[in-house]
Amino acid sequence: MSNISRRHFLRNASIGAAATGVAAAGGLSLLTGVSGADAVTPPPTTPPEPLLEGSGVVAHVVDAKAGTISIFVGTKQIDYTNQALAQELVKATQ
Amino acid sequence: MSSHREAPAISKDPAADSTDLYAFVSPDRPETVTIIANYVPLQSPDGGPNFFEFGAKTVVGNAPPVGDDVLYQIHIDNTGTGIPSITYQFEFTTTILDPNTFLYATGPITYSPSTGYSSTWNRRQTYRITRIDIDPVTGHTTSTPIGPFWERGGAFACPPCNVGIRTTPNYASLSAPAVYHLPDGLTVFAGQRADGFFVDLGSIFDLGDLRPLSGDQLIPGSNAPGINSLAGVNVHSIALQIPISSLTSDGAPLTQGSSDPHAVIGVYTTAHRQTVRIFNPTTGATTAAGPYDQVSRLGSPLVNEVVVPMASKDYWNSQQPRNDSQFAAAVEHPELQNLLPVLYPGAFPHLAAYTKPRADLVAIFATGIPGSVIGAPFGVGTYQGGKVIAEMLRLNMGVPPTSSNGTQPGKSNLGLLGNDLAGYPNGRRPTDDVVTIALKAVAGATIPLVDPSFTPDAAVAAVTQGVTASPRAYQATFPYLADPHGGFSNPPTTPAYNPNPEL
Repeated sequence: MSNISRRHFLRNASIGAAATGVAAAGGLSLLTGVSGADAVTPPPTTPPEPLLEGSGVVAHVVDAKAGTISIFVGTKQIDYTNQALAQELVKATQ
Repeated sequence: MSSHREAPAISKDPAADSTDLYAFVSPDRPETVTIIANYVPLQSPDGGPNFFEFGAKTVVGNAPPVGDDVLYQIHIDNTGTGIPSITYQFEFTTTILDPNTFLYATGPITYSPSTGYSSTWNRRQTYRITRIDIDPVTGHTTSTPIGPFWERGGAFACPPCNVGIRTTPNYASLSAPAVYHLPDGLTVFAGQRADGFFVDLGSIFDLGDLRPLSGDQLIPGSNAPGINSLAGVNVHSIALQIPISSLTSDGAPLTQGSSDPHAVIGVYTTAHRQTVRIFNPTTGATTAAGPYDQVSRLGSPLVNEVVVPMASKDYWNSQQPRNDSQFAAAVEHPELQNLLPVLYPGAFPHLAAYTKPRADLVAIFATGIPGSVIGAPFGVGTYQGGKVIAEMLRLNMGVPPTSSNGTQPGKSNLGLLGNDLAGYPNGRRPTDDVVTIALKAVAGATIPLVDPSFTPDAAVAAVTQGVTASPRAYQATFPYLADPHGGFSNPPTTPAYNPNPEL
């Protein structure tokens, strides 16, 4: 066994992996329950919890300039656009 | 392997990491199919004080459940569309009886038919099951809760982990009550089991060495028997035994055996976590919000492990089988096919020269194998019509089970390659040597099924991982994987307790 053949093997392996790479999943969508690449997988049967005082509501400012905010509550994701709110949230971090 | 820690992200989340999926006609109840989905890989049996468990919300006393959980699902496609028509969904709850002790159990755990598990078991899990029937055309779903006590964490209890001879004495008396026989013919179990998968991890992931063939490897060693890396480790199993008539698309028993047009199902399991998790460092609790995203997926063994490229493995885990045409190139031209002739110089000249797309592997993993390819005894094979490329574990439910004890002769742990039509890749039984089967298949053993002009290399016959299944990991009846290895007895070579040690 030679070093050349060892290098050849390792180089070929990495080239193969790179050539068959697949791009990551795209943007967010408005989905409730189980999400995936499409909405075929059934949603969980757990009924949505009522929003109690103190329940977690998480806002993710995806793009402050465009005002894109994803809001997560219970088993929902709501994609919301509000430029002023997004910029206000960013301002609060400074 | 076969899907233990197979992708970078999910390897950091064991509770949601599917390790193996089995689907087979139950050998002792051939009117049913058994499906086992394993999670939480590589459990050392003595892994206390926080022993292994399913992902679950936690209840302390009478407080409401808190924390993030994992949603587990088992899907069945009985229409050949790549879209599941039936989904069984499992949601677990962890209950802590006494939050003021660090102990998993405050004394020996016992079971009484009238009162259940004793209160000495401090940290325990229960679960609820929902069957969801889906119209693959309209997407309309019908959810049916299974079992009573729906609102209190579920009707079903997991057994405790097998801690040791003091905490879990007579373990069989603790695990047997966790097998539930339901009126509609469904049997269920969820809890810790011995891991029945057998593989030489240390050898295979050391640049593709097979210990029995080490002398011929590119970086040669000495030939030796394989070592079962999973001997003595446990997993958590979700097991279902379902009447075949509950799985067919027409809701009826098979009338034409393996040739019945309703005989073939595709099976896969998924785990889901909510999109957002916020960790509270003062309580250790996690608040979760958002949809349940699919983070783990498993159908056929080894596909995500050795077919899907590294950078795509977690992406693959998030995808639905019906979208699998995007991965077809990795199956048609598997990296491992190119590696074998390099790793074993001169052993695979025919394989090295074969440049056609691997239609045999596409059939095994993504469409099912037409019965006409194998021959009359295989009926319709595992072919689901070829409408979509969809990676799943396919099972022809009309193929009767085989055994090695003479009552139903012909069992081979090489499955189809051993002329045993009841084994992988027709479903998968716990004792099937899927590593050797897959290696032989990739090495060219199955190419002649679709391309008679190809002659497999002589070396294919010698390809083996050289590991045999350990009888300790199995039992003859549901859930077929044996009681877990005990913590006190781990490792098995632990010397006997000496009350007067010479220090």
